Amino acid sequence: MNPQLKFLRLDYWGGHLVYEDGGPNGVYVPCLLLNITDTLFVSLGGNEQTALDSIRIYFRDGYPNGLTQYVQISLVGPQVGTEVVQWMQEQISNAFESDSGVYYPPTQPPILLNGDTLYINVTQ
Amino acid sequence: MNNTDLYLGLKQHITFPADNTGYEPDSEYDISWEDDTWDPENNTLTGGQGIDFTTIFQVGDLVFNEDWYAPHAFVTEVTSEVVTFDGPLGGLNENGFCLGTYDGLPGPDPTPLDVRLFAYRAGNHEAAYLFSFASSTSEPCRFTAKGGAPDYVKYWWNNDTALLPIPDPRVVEVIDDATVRLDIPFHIENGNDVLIGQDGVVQRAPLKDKRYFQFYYGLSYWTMDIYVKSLRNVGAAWWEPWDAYVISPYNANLDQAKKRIDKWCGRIDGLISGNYADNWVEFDEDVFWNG
Repeated sequence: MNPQLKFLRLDYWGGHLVYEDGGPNGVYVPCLLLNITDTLFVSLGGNEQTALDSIRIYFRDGYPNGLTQYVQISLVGPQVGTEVVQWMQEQISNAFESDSGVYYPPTQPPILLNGDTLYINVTQ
Repeated sequence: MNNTDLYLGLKQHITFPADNTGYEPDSEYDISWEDDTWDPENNTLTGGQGIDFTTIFQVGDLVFNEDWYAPHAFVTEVTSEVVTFDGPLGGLNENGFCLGTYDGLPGPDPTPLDVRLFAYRAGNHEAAYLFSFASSTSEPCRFTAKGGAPDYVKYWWNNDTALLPIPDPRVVEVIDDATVRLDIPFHIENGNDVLIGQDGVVQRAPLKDKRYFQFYYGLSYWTMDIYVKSLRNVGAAWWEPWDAYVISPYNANLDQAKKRIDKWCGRIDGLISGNYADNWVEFDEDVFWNG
């Protein structure tokens, strides 16, 4: 058993993980396997003055020089509440409590996740 | 190696800038699906752009699709408006040239891509199989040295676009230190980066470092099936491009993709549980290629 490794499988709940557009270069991502091994916390991303448009999963093991590293998953639409963050936090907690290294959430997220624009970044 | 050392196996590639000088096609034709039509039953291309096909193609030409180079075909008949081939051309189907299927998936059906056909005259077929590597900024090639020849080549496009799901052309002969002959016709533009690699050589990257990889599964217009994207951001740079490796089926449907997703997640789960002795996940084209 390797308790150091946990993956969260974000999958095909009837299209709750989608690509940004259907254009020629749009990427369809029915499944995204997130490595959540070193997750520190989850928050909404985006500009609070306009719209909160993404989820950020921050990692404990950050970037050098005190910066924090996160993976950002865009939301298809703006989110005014924190339901999707709570959902993600619950899934990560469930993943760590499960025996499986790859955890598949039994419920779909409350808002569409845009797996196409996932990216990693560092912040102060 | 202990069971906390889990690895992702990736094909090992290095890049070379390619040079097609001396091996260019004799003729080219840009298909426009607004005007042209492809008949997959009869392998005929009917032109609608007002271009006389007899000025483009000749009987005996070796022809292939620039973006989907396998299989290639030969021209058996040509008139001003219709050119007939002796077999299918890679990627062309009743919809023109569409990559992937969108059955049951949200979003509009893909729009056919316009593509370019290359034609090599009967006396110039060899040129379609040959190309060289040359660059003043790279190390000189040493393909004739013992163990120095690549076993396969592959396009690399210098962006995040996934590679197309076409077989890696195999090197069948080393012509000189910088030139190889492939088993299928292959085209590159001068200056394109091409990946070359040797059989059996893989790179093992630690799964346990969460900053290194995220895994994408699924379908896209470029028909990626499994896409491993490096997220390491050392010095604000991505990993070298050959660290992102794509395996794709031809026109996989969602059910086929789901099976691959399950298989791959099961393998990772097994590794984490210590159920395997070899401690690594390997991308296997034979498993993933045909769905």
